[in-house]
Amino acid sequence: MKINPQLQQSVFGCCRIFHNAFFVATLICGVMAQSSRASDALADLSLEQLASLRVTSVSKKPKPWANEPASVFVITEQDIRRTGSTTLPEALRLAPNLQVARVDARNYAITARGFNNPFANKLLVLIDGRSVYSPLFSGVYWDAQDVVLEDLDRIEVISGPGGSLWGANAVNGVVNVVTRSAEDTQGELVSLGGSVHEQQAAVRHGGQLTNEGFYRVYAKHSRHDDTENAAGALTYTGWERSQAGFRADWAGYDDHFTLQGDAYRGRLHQSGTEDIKISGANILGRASRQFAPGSRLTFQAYVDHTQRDQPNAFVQHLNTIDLELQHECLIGERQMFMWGGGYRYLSDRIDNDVFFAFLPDDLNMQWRNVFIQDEIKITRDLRLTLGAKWEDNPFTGWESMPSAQLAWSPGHNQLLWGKVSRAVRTPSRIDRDYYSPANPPLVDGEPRYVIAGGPGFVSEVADVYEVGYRQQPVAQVSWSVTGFYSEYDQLRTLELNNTATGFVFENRAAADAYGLELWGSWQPLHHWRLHASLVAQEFDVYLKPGSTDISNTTALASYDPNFYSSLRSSYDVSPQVTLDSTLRYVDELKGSQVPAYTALDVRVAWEISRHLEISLVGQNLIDRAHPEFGASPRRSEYERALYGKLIWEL
Amino acid sequence: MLTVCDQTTSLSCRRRWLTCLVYLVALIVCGSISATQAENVANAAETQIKAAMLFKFLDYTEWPATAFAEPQSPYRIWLLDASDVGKELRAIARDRNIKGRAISVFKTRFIERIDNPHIVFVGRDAEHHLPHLARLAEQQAFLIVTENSQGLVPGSTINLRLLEDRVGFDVSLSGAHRNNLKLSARLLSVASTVEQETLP
Repeated sequence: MKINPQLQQSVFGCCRIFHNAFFVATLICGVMAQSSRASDALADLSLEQLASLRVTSVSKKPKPWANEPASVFVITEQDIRRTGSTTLPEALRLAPNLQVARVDARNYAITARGFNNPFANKLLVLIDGRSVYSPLFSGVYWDAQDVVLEDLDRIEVISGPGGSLWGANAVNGVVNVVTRSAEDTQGELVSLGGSVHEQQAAVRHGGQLTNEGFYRVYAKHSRHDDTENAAGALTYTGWERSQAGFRADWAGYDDHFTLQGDAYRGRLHQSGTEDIKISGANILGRASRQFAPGSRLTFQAYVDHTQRDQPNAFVQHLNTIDLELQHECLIGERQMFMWGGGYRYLSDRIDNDVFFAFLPDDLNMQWRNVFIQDEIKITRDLRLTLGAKWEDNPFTGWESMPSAQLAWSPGHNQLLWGKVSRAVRTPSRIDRDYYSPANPPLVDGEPRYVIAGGPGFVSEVADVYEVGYRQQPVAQVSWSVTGFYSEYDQLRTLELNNTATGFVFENRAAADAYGLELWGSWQPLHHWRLHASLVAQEFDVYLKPGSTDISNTTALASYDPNFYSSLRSSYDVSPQVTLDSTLRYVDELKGSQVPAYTALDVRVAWEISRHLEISLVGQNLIDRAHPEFGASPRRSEYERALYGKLIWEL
Repeated sequence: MLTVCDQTTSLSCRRRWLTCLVYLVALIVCGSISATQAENVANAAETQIKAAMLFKFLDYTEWPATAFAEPQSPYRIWLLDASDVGKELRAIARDRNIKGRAISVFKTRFIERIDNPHIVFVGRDAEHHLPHLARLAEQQAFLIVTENSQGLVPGSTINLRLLEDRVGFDVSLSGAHRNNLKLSARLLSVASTVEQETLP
């Protein structure tokens, strides 16, 4: 990794200062927090005294997201296990507020609230607090992301802007993948699964450290055949990937420390060339200390390296250093205040090929951010949350992402909420630095590019208005509905270059989007649960006066279904045998003429002993095969398949 | 190599600015913590109160002698998908004992791992295990505690829930009888509701 010496000094100067900030605060607060251990003395109170204690407002939240004024769906590890999802993108299908379309064996188009395509750039994805978004195109290489699904704790999916907390790129949503603490993954696990098209194996060992900590180590290998198109021809998009990693956790009474890391490498098929070679490694540390109920300071740092050698395209070497500090505290009885800041350093080196180039090919970038959020309890049932994040990016400087939320509980287990927010997608390298061809002809000594980057490209912005209601009238029934209206501006277009020949990226499109997200669950019997969801959405995309766009931007949202829904049933036949089925309907995608389809997956699992479970999943049972994305006749189609799995756990 | 950073700013100036920020950070942290400390001592986190109550239930519940391998065998509290309470409960149980018995706290997400429990605390996301747990409790005599916001659910013997801004609990006496447990009169007197099946 090349780092400019002056910048290196600056980077590590910043590290030192953040380091100092954390320890100054920890030291001072550590002394002051001694009295917080008074909660330990609760055990010495009588039952009557305990029953008369008042509960602090923040701890009233039954779960981090359950009381949030936002469109949030949480996928649990049990949901993933019971539906038989085989990969992380497949598991995301469980979130009713996400659009998931499989493009081929390794590519997915995933977003929330529209503008979907394999390069979807308005969804922020994090795995254990580490951003997996690529600064090359503001999207996610889904073919390089993997986790041991059995070690997942949950996946939080937020549709709608999350910029005031999460920052730029969280325009249409945030996916936060959270793995379980090492303490919760003790013992051995062997997971073997496969069908005629794909196979995978994972092993994990969890144990205890001598200093009251816990650890786990894992290794995983998976592969997938090339998919086929309707004519039965191979798409050359199969893949093979190996990954290994570890996680260690130390949980004291007030402190929690986490250290984790992963390393992977893989080969991805590509039509007409050698395989794409991917590899990467990351290490992350997180320390948090609770000073009193509702008061917590968290510091996180990670280093991430990824490499992608894609023949006929580029070789990318990307190194990331990321630091984050966050503090939340109660102020009086009515305010929950949260503030923090972050710094990210990226070193991106690209070996360009002949068809296109990212120029400059060697680029160091820095992001800085600060954020505040104040949750004010106006009355017992009414909460106002004001927040904003300011982020400094290397392309457009400081951007602000404010939001205001109002939440009202009209009755027991009910929440009516409204939210107004501004989200920003800051430029990525593809918006500014993409040139084609890589070696253009020279006219009068000047290069004549067909596409000459986007020197004037600025951030895309969205003003979003949301209103939602959720209720749990009885223990067996819960439901949630959200309505949204979004105004997008400065969307990317490809315009005639006024200063030379060819084209450049500019921001001459706008769009309006509106829709409804509805989901609920019902438990008619103790051993039977039903989940249903429905999303309806509409988009109007238009070019601004003077635009000469040739990228067909007006068709941006035509890869989004206007309607999609699902019905999931979880039935416990006996304590040892479970039966789960998922029915999905996705409306047609007009842009690529993908017809509407209905897919049914059914899983039967038998827990032979407390250590051994076998399961069988019937995938895509309704039709012989169907496409989900892309234009005919080259697009992939997904056939009916049978996937068997064995989990042995000690 | 091109670097997109503002390198014209002098490093010393930037460092001075950041040093000021460090002090500001420390000031805000300490200020907000002082405000937290000033809160009424009668306030506590919901998880802390629940942990303390679980600890107290050991004192007010009588298990059959067969529930313990030896006279000094520890109480075994299993937390099913309820990690938050586990952290608090471990801190409470660390140096304490009840009736001469130590307290062991175990956390798990898998019902099959629960081994010789005296109390099983079932987190909100694990309530679908209640029918299976209830059958086990009838054979093995253990207390099932839940935290359903609506009140007692089938299978649960004690349910902890928020009552306005306090943690209260409901008791199913018939559940306790089914599981061969005796609950003390003092525990019943503090309960918000006591449910008992009546003969037709």
